[in-house]
Amino acid sequence: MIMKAINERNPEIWTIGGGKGGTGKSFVLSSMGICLALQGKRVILIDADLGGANLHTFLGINKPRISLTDFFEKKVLLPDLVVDSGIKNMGLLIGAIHSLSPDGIKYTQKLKLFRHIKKLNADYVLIDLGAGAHFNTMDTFLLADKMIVVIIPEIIAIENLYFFLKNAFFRHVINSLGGHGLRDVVQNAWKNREEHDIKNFSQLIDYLKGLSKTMENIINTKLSDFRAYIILNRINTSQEIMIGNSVKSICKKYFGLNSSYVGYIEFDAVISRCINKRQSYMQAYPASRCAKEIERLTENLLEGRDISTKI
Amino acid sequence: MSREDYSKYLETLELPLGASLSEIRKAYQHLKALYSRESIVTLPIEDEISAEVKRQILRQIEEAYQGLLVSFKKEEDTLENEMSSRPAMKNYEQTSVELTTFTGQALRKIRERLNIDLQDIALSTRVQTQYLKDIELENFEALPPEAYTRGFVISYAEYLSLDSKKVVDDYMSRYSAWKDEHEKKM
Ligand SMILES: Nc1ncnc2c1ncn2[C@@H]1O[C@H](COP(=O)(O)OP(=O)(O)OP(=O)(O)O)[C@@H](O)[C@H]1O
Ligand SMILES: [Mg+2]
Repeated sequence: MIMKAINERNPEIWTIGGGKGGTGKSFVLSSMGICLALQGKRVILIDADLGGANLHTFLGINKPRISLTDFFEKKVLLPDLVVDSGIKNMGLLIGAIHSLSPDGIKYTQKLKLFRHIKKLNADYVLIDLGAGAHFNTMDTFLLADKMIVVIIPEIIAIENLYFFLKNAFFRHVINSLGGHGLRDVVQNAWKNREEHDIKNFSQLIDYLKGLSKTMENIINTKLSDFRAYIILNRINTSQEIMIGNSVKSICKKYFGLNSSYVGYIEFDAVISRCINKRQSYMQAYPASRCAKEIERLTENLLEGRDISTKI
Repeated sequence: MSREDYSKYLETLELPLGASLSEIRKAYQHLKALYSRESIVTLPIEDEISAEVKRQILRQIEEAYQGLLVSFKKEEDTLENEMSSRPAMKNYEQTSVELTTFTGQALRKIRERLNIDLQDIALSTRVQTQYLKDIELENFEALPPEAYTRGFVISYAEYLSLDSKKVVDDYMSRYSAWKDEHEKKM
């Protein structure tokens, strides 16, 4: 009986997004997957970057021939599409480049996919997302128990992150408004923002809260269960570490959004060399500083630990 | 201070309950800089936040910090009164305002009352810990040329939220006296 209960436990889902392309999402996610797998946890990586699936490259393996397309088109069961990642305890499931352009999936298909992802037999399911803030990307991002965002110390990455998180939050609200028959409230408010004198995110939030007690409750609940986990990648100096604290503060004080700063990773030129050589960095350089930093932030994510006051 | 105020203040400074004085201080300094200067973190939303909102955030940060500082002072003073017959030192802010001589020793005392490690200062000011020690010991021989020492003392004073001009003028007067003496001997 007990065995059965364990097997049927849902996996913990981590998704990784952040808006800007090339910040290191795929590298970080695959590396965290390796950390978890090395600890003996059963991991499945899902490459949901439907436009540019490349997670296999970070693991140094060939592109698997089966993909999510087979789930949609041939009705193959999801677990049967998980291939060997070359790393013990870790499987890989990739999206498909052409058949699944972000607009190509139907709503019902998407929900079915999400349902099956939640039932995968693993301890952790890590989902890599592409750049951008398309609503399908957002919905996948929101599927997570832990929503991770990756930024680098560059103004555009930070700007995109704010945009990304604001969108994710509204998507989060909109998805739950459907059940209350209020699906269009947010869009309408934004469409008529001039009329309501709404100039920014926090004013929109205030406006929505002011509409009714129900709306206020919904928004407050959604605000309290929304939390992003921030990873700062490609830092060059130790002063840049504090950028994580700063971004976290801005998210809270300007947008009311909660986040935790779980770690940073230095810039290391060896990383791209590894990719080109089709080596996995974590395995080729397990003692490097970046590898240690990734181990630490994976641990922090597991524990839900924030590093802001420790630096 | 009520429990409510205490948690509200810590929340403003984005700290967990039970944060230490040195954590409070660090958070305060970081937030104050974040909301009063432009940086890659704030520039993208410059036009989204009015100057008034920003001022309000800064006010809250200041209020939280001062509130927490007082609570720490109270605790410490009671402790001190119980443990020794020394007269309780007045509120730190007040004391440092009244001070006019900032010897290395005085600076060290203020720092210790604030529960700040030299390492904290070194980390944030990027002045080596050894130099900070030499400043406190007024170990002038070991300190770098005047212009540098001056800069170091200013950074140190700013970290302690002291009036850095007052501190550096007073401190450097002793440094200059030593230097004159030293050069005469040579
Ligand atoms: N810490 C780092 N130091 C040096 N290079 C890095 C670091 N992290 C990632 N890179 C490099 O940055 C490039 C982009 O990384 P990656 O493909 O993981 O980004 P991404 O966010 O997944 O991009 P996309 O949005 O296109 O999917 C890679 O070539 C990788 O080698
Ligand atoms: Mg990627």
